[in-house]
Parts: sequence; C-alpha cells; structure tokens
Amino acid sequence: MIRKFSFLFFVLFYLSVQSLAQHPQGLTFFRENIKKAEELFLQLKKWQEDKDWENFFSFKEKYFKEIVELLSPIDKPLLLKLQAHYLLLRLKYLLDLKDVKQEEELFLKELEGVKTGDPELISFLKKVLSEIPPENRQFKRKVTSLYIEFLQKSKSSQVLREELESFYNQKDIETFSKLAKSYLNLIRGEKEFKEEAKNFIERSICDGFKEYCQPYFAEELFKEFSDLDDISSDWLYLRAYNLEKASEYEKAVSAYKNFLDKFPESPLLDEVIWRLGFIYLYKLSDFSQAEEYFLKLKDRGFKVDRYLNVMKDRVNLEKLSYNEEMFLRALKEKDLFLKGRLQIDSCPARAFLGQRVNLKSLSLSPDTGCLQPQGLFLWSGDLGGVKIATNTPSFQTSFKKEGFKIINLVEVVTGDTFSGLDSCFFNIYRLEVIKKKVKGKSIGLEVKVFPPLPESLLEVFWRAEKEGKVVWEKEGKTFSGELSPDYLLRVYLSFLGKVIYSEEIPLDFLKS
Amino acid sequence: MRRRFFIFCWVAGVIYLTNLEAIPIEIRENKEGGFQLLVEGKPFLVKGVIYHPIPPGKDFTYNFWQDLESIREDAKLIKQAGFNTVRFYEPCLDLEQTRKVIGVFYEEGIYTIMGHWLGFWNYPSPFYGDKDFRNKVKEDVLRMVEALKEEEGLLCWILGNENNYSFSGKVNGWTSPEVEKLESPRERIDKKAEIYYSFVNEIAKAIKEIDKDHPVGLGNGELITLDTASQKAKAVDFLALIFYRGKRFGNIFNSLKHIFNKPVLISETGCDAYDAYRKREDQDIQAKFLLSQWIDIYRNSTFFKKRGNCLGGVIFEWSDEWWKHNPSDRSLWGYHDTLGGWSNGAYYFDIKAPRNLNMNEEWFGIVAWEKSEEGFKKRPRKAYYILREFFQNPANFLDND
Repeated sequence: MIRKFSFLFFVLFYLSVQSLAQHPQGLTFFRENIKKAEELFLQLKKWQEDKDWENFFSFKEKYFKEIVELLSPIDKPLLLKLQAHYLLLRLKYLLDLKDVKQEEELFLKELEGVKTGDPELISFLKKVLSEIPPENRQFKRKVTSLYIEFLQKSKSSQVLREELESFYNQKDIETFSKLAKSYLNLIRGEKEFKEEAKNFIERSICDGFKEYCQPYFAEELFKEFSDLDDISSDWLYLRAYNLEKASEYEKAVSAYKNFLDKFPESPLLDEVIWRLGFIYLYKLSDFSQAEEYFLKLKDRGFKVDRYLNVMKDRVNLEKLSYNEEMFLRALKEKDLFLKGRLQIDSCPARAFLGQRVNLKSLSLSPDTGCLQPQGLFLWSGDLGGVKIATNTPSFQTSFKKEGFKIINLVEVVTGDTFSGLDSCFFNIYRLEVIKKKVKGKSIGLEVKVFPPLPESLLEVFWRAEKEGKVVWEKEGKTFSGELSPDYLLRVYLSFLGKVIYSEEIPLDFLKS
Repeated sequence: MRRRFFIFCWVAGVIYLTNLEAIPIEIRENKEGGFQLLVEGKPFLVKGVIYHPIPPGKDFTYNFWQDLESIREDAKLIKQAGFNTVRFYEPCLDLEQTRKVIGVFYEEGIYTIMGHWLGFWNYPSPFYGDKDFRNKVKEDVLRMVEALKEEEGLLCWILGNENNYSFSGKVNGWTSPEVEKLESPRERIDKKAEIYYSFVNEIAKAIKEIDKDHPVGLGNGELITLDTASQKAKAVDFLALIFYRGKRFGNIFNSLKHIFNKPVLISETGCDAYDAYRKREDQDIQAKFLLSQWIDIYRNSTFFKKRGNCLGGVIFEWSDEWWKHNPSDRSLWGYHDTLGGWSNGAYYFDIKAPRNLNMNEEWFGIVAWEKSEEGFKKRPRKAYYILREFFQNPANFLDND
C-alpha cells in the first residue's frame, strides 16, 4: 500500500513539475517565445540583406507587433530578460525606430547592480558587443565598460585569458592591462603565474618598437613581480627604459643606476651611460650630473666634447645651425614655459644602418582660445643627412654610420617664443654576417651585431625562399646547412618577439 | 415691371454661376502669407520625381518617349509609391509623342511638369544677350506651350533649370557686348543675371498670353542671383529651385520670403545610393536622406503650417542613368560607374572618398537597374518603399521627428 502511494505521489509530483514548466510564466515557455521572435526577426533581416523591400515593408509592422507580444511576458531570469531586451533592440535598429535610445537605456538598466561575472552573461555580452552597429558609439562604450567589469569579476581564468587576448589583438592595450591584472590575481600561486606575468610585461612594456604600450601597467607588474626568477640585466634594463618612455625620468635614472651597479660588464653598459647623460642633460636639466656621465663616456673613448661644452656654455651659438641654436637657447629657458607641450611621440630604441627611422612629434597647443599660433618645428642634431622643412612635425631618415644619435626638436612660435622642446636618443647598429666555414655543400653563417645586444632580448632566425615559397626556417644566430645560389636568404632580428630588422644575405659567394 | 426685372437678373445670375468652371490649376496666397497650389480647387502638394529613364547602354540621346509600354509600367509603379507628379526637363522633339506620354501618366492620376532648357545646352553657348538667339528660344517655348497647354495632365511650366550657374562662367559660359563693357567680375555676373532673368520674364508673360491655366516657374540653382530675379522676373508664378543640401534645406524657406517672396517648389533634390568611401551601394542612407528631405518639404508647406511657402518637391530621380559619369565614352554607358563626379560635404556619409568626390551621378535613382537573363529590369530601392510609407501617412513621421 505504502509503495503504491509512493509511486502515485512520485507520478503526481513529476506531472506537476512538467506542467509548471509549460505554465505561461515558465522557462520553457519564455525560451520558446524568444526562439519564435528570433525567427521572425531573422526573416526580416534576411529580406533586408537580400534587398527584398517588397516583403520587408509588407511584413515589418506585423512582425514587429508579434515580436513585441512574444517578448513582453518575459521578466525572469535575468539572462532571458536581457535576451528579450536585446532582441527588441536589434529589431529597432533594423527598423530604424526613433525610440531605440530608450530601449538601449532599458537594456543598460537591467545590467546595473549585477554583482557576478557569470560566464553565460559574459558570453552573452560579448555577442551583443559584436553586433552593436558602429554608429551607436555611446551605447557600445557603455556596454563595453560593463562587459569589462563583469570580466574582472569573473572567476574563470580561461574566460579572462581569452578575452584579454582578444582586446590585445584589437590593440586595446588599456583594457588588456586591466584584465591581465584580474587574471594574474586569479592565478596567483599557480605554476603558470610567473610565466604569464613575464609574458604580460613583455607585451605591455614600451620597448621603442611597439605602436601601443602600457608603461605604467608594465611598471606595476615589475614592482609587484620583482621576484621574477633571476632578474637578469636585460630585464632591469627594460624596466629602466620603460620608465624613461613613460617620462618617469627620476625613476628611470634610479633604475639605470641600479643597472650600472649590478651589471658593470653588460653589453648595454655604454648605452645606459649615454641614457643617463642624455636624461640629465635634456630631460632633467641637471647639468652637473650630466657632466659626470658624459665624462665617463669620454673615458670610454666616445666623442662627447660637444655635450660637455653645452653644459659649460662653451658652445659658440653663432657657429651652429639656426635650429640648433634655438634648441640650446630653449634648453636654458625650459623653466620659463610650460613643459610637456611638445613630445617626440615616436622615437625608436634602436635601428640598423640604412633602416628607415620615423620621427613623429606631438604638439599640444597652448590654451589661448580661438587663435592658435602656428608653430615652426626646428629639428636639429643627428638627422641622417635629410633636410626638413619647418612646417614638418614628423619625418623619416636613415643613417650610414653606426653609433648613438640624439635628435632635438624645439617648437618656436612667432620669432623666438618657445612653446616646447624635446629630444630623442637611440642607437644605430650594424649587422654583420660572417661566413664561418665552407665545407662541401654545407655553409656556416653567423650574425654579429655591433655594438652587441643581449642575447636574451634578441632573437635571430633565418629564412630561405625559392620562387616565392619558403624552403626552410631556422632559429639561432648561427646557421649551418646547405644553401643554393638560387635561394633568397634573409636573416631576421626579433626584439621581445617583434621583428625589428631583416636583411637579405647575398649568396653570390656560393657560385665561386 | 420691377418684379420681372428682378426675376430676370436672378435667373441670369444662376445661369452664370452654374456655368462658372473652377480654374484648373492656380496658386493662392492665404492671409498668413502662405502659398498653396490648387488643382481643380483642391489643395495639391507636389510629390514629384524626375523622369528620364535612360536604360543601361544608352545616353541622353536615347528617345525614351517612344517606349510607351515601359512608361506605362513605370507610371503604375510611380503611382503605387504615392507620387502624383513627374517632371521633364524638356519635351520630346515630337510634341505629339509628348502629348501621348502626358496622357499615359494622367491615366494613373499623375500630373506632368514640363520644362524647357531655354537653349542652355546649345552649342557653342547660350547667348542670352543676343536678340536672334532669344527670339529663337522664345519661339520654341511658345510652340511647346501651344502644343501641350490643352493636356489635362499638365500641371505647370518650368523655364530653365540651373541656367544661373552660367553667370560666373563656370558652366556654359556666355557673354554679350553689354557684359564685356564691364570690368568687375561681380558686375559682369549681375549684368548677365539681369539679361537672363529679363528674358525669362519676357517668356513668362508671353506664355500667359496664350495659356492662362498653368502656372509658370523659374528654374534656378540654389538661391544664387535670386535677388536680381526678384526685380527682373516678377511675371513668374513660382520658383522652381534646385538644392543639394543633404538631409534638410536649412533656412531657405524663410530666406526666400525676404529675397523673392514667391511660392517655392523644390524642383530637384535627392541623394545617391552609393557610398564612395566604403565603395558599396548604400540604400539605407539614401532612404534616410530622402525621407528627411520630404519631412522638411512637408513641414514648410501649408499642409503643416499656414505660413508655409513650399508647394512640394521633385526627387532626382526615378531611375539610375549609367551614361552620366562618362558621357563621351560609349563603352562605359553599359557599366555602372562607381566613381564620384563632384563633391558635396552635406552628404557627409562618404565625404572621405578619394579627393572628396562623393557624388555618384549614376546612382541617384530610387529605382535601380538589375541585370537578368532577359536584359535589364527595374528594381525599386529602399527609398521607394520608405517614401511610399511616408506618403501614405506623413503624420506618423512628423510626430516622431
């Protein structure tokens, strides 16, 4: 008897649950409604895409009413409600209705106060973002902002990892760095943590070659993860360089000095001393400190009398070019006008002989109201032999002689009123490919860079092509193997994962 | 006796009044200063489209007037869209054929605006200062009026189109001994304007002597030199103005009240359906622009406000013309060119096109030509349908605007 009653009870319970699901307010019912509404919407969209205007215009009113009817009862759960709102929004975009802004506001309101980074919700928002029409910029910005917020709350490291990559690929380095921070916090203590942190530093650091970088994020990571395994001289150098690019000159100087103390034998030693002299002279206007470093360079055989004379006011301004004279005058008067009004926005860390170097400046106009004076851009220093007109805020050049280069820029307004100045420092390298040995058909080649670069930062790979197709690719600064005179052989130099230079290696010697 | 006389007067008065016919087409000014076009005594808003259906592979010399079957099909489509008027820049050389075409459109309840170029495209130049030239043109116009004035479907006449652009010498430049005496370019332009508008005035008066039933309009590009026209061409009944100002017409309706207070017909306006920047057809933007233009036209008519001075509008144009970008290269008449021919920043959506040449002359139709196995077919664009919705219920759009 008891068994019969239990069985009956179970059956009744099962049936009631089923009927609840089919109840007008049940989940299944809502999902079905969304599905039907979606079908009607997609049909309208198809007619629009096919330019079948006869059908589109004949049915749009009817479908609109039906879709609104199907979606209006949906009030929970949140994800279904959002799906309903979003479908209505897409419909209003399609029909170009005037109340689309109100629909956008309703959608955003639903998202306010959501506390979790639910993976389904994140996935849904990602889909929404990819479909918002480009002209709805304001709405897209708001949804993106919420999306990032939810991602940051997410407990799924996999989701975070995927999304930060996505933003990086879209060149949104700012969002990439926000998500990278959240991601690193999630995986703290796990085995991939250090590797990931290093990866993010590499990607966000300003290394003089990246178009987009996040120096402050890179420095944050450096600070927080300074116990990264054996901070080599290369990483300490990168950190100092990154600070310099972020215009944190005091901190950069401190980091460079730290480098000098720790790694007095590094191949980057000369460059670091130059940078210290350069920063003290041109950025901090600390002439006595600058002199100390330029004297060190003099001891090491570099010709630096010019800079020493600048600091001692021994430079004969009349013998200089007009541009250089203006620059040096402005250097002395730097405190008299606003700093930061001019920046050389694009200044490489290093380049190779004959390689094109782009110099680009960014001039921030003074707050003078409607009338903005037109500035003259006076470039001077190591320009590589190009002549630059005074209305040129940017130019390209190349160099035939290796060594350290300094380029100066002063912006002059109406005669000799200065509105900004900046300087750029970089190193020109020379690449040599040495034939190590020739034995039968096997050839040995080695790449040498002058002055030398740290091996951990620089990667070399070789590529042989024949008739436009790649025959082989090999990594390493030395190569040995078979080559043919009808190959096209190139060597590539890569710095922190980005190819910065390549050169074709003539193979004529194989014929003899 | 007195009683008989009174009865006689009463009967005569009734007979007279019952035989009075409504003036078929007239323009009236109301006490608020607004203007309204009346057709058979009823307010009429011109909802027009320029009709010049040159098929792909042909150029402007193609005689489309002969293809009555095709015109009949178009007339049905034009009617279904809600248009009530078509505009021709000039009649067919065969005026009898022109009458037939006017009749075909009138069968669908569509009126015709008939224009005349006033010799603008004459080679080498339209010498408006030359007496013989003027007489010849005037004769031609009056011949046209004489032949077509009895047509029931005729709405009005438009003299010239953008002929005023010739005053600066940039388009079809002309001169005369009077003009040559003047040194200042400004004075030369003014003199040419005086000569031309006086001529238009002369023709308008001559038309009215033989045709009292149809208003006469002055075709003019923008508001340029209308101040001179207001002095020299007072005989015209309305202004037929050409504007390409993007989505809206700005303050032209107000400006005109002060420059030349006549009713205005936007006799040519439109938007091309090609995005020269993104290099693709864009029917959506054409539809948006045309709808916006029509909302503006409506808002400035007496259908919306009593002081309205807009009699309606005419869209350029019914169908694409594939010969326009390269008129001299026959091999390209069958090719739908996508290069822009001129620049207009009001059509902002593709102003970033190379050299800012964003106006694609071959893409102004609200009906496109589509290649099929049987040849070319007409396919209405989105703008056709949007305007159809608008004409069915303009109030919907005006409320939401």
